[in-house]
Amino acid sequence: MRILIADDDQSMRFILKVQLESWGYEVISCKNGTEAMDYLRSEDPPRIAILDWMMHGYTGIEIARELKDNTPLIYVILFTSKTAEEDLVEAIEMGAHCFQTKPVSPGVLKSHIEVARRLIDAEDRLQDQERQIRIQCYSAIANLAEKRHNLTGTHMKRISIYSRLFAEQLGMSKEKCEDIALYSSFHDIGKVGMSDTILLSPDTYSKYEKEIMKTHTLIGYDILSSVSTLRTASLIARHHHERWDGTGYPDGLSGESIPVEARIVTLADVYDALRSERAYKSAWAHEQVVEHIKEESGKTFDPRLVKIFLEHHKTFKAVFDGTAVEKA
Amino acid sequence: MGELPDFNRERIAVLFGNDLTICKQVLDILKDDLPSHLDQLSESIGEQDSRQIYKTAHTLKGTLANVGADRGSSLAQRMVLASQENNFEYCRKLYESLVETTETFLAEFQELAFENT
Repeated sequence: MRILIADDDQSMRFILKVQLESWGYEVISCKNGTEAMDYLRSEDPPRIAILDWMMHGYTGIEIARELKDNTPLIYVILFTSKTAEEDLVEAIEMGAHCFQTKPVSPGVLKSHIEVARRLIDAEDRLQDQERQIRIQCYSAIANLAEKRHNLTGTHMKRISIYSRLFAEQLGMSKEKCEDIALYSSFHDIGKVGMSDTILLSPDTYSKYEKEIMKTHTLIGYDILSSVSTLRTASLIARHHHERWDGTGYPDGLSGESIPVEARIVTLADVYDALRSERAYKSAWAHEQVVEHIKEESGKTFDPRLVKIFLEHHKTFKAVFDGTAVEKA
Repeated sequence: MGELPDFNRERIAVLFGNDLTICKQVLDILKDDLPSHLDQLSESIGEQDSRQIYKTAHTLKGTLANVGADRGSSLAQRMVLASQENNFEYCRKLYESLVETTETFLAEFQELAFENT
């Protein structure tokens, strides 16, 4: 675990560093408040910060106030030579989790860090549980849309696996890969707004029906865009029928102006749809679909994604045939 | 002030045990830092800049307490209070004592760090 220390007194930083490293922590040592703030505002900040009260740049109190409502929690231990009760009360009120008066007491510092670790662990567990619940709720909602279309949950699950594979191959962060895998299931949620007559029709759609069906992208976007945590899902829902050459719908976006999450789901969805039997079409063989996707590179699909698909098409086949090891 | 030691060796033992290498590294830092803090203090007292006296004395109070310079830390604390009252005459007297105890502290710390070598 990483711990940030910030103090403009060099000997203090050194003493703390030696102490913390001897307990097995990785230490980030900052010589003023500005440097500390930069680290603590970064994408992957240390979860424990030991800050001097009086520092150049930002003071320890100012940093504590800034981090007060931070997610994830950054536990602030305020180091100070101040001993007046009102100062210490102020420190806690402003956002510090605890304080230690100078001189350093190794035993007390160790106890503070132990409390910090417990709190951070508890918060992480809670976040994880909350995320799991959110995933389950979202999956249930996405399932609803699929059920209306008489599709099985396995279609959604496969799209999720294909989408994750693309995201991983594009070098996206673990979190982003998980988001894309989860939110890919929402691409057709707008179909809840389609009438049964059109949605469940066994015939090929008329021109009018096709136009109506196209609105599922906008309906899906409207449903999802009001939820701040579903921004990625809303973009997928809106843009998964755009085409790389700009001839898709609803916005006629082209190339990289189409959100990459949507480009991924477009290809994943087409592969699975073509391989599946539908009321209006029979299932295509894997090799046929590979040829089709190759032909559509730079037309319907992002050429970079087609390249990834061609490198991994056997995995796609295995996922569809149910012989792959599940990951999503 | 007589009861407080210039250098409390036990404090160093609590922090670093018997690790003389670390002691020497701390000593080097203090040899660099303390004189510059004291120079800053002298300048601020001369300019009767109570805000700067407060800041430097506050820093010294913490630094000296950490390394067992108990008498120096106590003097620095008194200077913090004197600066809040704009009592520059008293600050000057405290400063002289602070310089004296810091010299003794560094000498004793040096002795400890190079013990058995």
